[in-house]
Amino acid sequence: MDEPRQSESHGSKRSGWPAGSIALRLTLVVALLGLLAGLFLLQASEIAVTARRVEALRQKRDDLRRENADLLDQIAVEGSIPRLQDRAAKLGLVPAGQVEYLPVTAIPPDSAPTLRGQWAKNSEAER
Amino acid sequence: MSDRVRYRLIVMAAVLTVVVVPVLVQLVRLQVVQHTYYLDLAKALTEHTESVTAPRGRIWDRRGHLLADNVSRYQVSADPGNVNLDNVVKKLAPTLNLSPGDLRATLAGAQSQVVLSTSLSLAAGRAVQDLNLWAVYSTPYWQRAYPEHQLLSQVLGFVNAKGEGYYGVEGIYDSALRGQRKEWEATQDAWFQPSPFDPAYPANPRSGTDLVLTIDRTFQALTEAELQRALAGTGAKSGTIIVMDPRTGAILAMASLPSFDPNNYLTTSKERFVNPAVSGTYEPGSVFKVLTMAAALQEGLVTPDTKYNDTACLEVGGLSVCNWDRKAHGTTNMVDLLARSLNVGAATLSTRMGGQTFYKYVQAFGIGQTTGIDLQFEESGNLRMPGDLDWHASDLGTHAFGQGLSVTPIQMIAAVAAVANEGMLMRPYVVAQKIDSGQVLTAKPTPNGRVISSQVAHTLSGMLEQAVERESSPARVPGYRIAGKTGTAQIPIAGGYDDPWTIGSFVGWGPVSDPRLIILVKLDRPTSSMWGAETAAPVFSRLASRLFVLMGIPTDKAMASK
Repeated sequence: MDEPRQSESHGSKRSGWPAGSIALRLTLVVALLGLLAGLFLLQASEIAVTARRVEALRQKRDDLRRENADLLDQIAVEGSIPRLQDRAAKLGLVPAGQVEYLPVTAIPPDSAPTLRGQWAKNSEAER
Repeated sequence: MSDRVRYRLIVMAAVLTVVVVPVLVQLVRLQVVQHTYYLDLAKALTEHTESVTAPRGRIWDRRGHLLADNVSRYQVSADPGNVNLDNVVKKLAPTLNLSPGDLRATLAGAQSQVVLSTSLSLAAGRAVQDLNLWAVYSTPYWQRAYPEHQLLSQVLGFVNAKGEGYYGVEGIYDSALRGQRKEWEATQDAWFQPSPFDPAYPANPRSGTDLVLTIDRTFQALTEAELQRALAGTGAKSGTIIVMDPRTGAILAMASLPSFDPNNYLTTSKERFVNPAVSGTYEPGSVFKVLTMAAALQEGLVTPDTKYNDTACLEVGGLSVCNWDRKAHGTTNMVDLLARSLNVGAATLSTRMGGQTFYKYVQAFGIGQTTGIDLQFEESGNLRMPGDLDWHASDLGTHAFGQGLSVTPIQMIAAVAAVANEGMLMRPYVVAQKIDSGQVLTAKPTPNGRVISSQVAHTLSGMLEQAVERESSPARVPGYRIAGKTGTAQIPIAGGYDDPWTIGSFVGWGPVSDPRLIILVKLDRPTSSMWGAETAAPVFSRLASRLFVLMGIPTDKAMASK
């Protein structure tokens, strides 16, 4: 029972791998290398595309920040005292004359700066 | 192997050797011998230092109105060696609103990169970018903008083209306001285009700290309008008005004219950048009697009813000190001394106190020292003291009524505000809050020490209220109890005084029962009248009556009826 096996084993040592087996293995190696190369290429191109997208988004963010700053300035200019005075004068408004007071205890008098924490958060978020 | 084959192999080997060896030698030279040189050359082509600067912190008034912000502007430059001249001139000239001839001449005459236009708007800057011109660069940057233009200009200061703040709040808070600047080695391709994704790009440089001022822009506009009206009405060359909360030292308005537009600081003479409210010194005149009387009351030297014999003149240190009207008012009490603003009376008090005591109080009120207000270039004024080389014995008499010494308007209002604030001297300030990365830091009022007791402060307030009422002063505000003092001072020049010019001033506060604001009005060289009572006092009245309304302070009558 053992002899034929020994004979096969000896035969194998003599002639090496069958030609078909070598071709198969080479094909596998080439396919593997091809797969790796393909993956690398896919990854590289995906990185390039994503990088472009990130760059575009970064650019858009910067542009929006600039637009936002300009809009904020425009709002400030439109609401500035000289602009309001001009507008009021054109509407025929005049400064108030003598003011008569009705004491209302529930309303506190004018106090310190009105800008507080929430306002500051909004200001920061808007940047 | 036949000889022929061998011969061919030798020839082939020789040919290959001749061809390959120089290549190998060149490779070694480039890659090994001159490795560093070519590496640097490659880096120079693909890498360059870029920088990004975050926007400067914004400045707001106490109610959240923008006083200083940043707008986006573009600078267009070109590399003349690489531009397609005809194409650039044809497309860029109309976009930049330049004449084609000028643009062509600029580009043809330049050797290296040349700036073609600055301060372009966002739309114009992007229009240039959209032209996609080779070797033409449209670079964005932040430019400071002041939406209210001239309003509050001397308090705000300005920012130059390099982003450096000068004068006022911009100057003194420059380091806090500046946005973070980050530099990095950026990479670019062979066409000088930036790499699509540069990992070295700094994520988010920190914006500058936002500042919230104690100043209300509406108060400020009213104050500037009243000052403008006062200059027109009195013929004064210049003037200053400060409105302050005496309880805290918070500045509510600070106006000086003439002023400037910080958006166009380059076209303004430098003298206008200086804020006279903190940097301009003057002889305060009779307003100073408030401090002299405070010292005398605190020392127990006098009470409101104490009388003295007022002669027209009094000799102090060999100098004759006279009343403004050169009249002798006879037996006079302390209220009348203030109401009639008698120099002899003030000099009598200071000489009775003696130099050591008098100057102790003058210094305690902050005269001769900066107040510490958070504005750039504050002056300390000039106060000669006993022991100083230039002090003379007669100074004890003249200093008592504000002559022979100099103060700044902010010093004067801060000192008198101590009387309105129950004797406590407060440090004036203009920044109420700093907002840094969402964190709010609120400034706390800072006492600079108690000068007089609250009882003495109440007594003196009452005396000054009576003085205003007794003389039917134009400073009175209908419906409100007002305390205050006028001042008329000569203007010192080399060798004497600049006659007949004067500085008219008034410092007053109200309502006396609960002082909410103190106002200093100072008018320089008025032509309508030389007296502060006739020039500055009416300005106080007009301004205070409007500010009381804006602040929602009911009249004393309305308060009493509650």
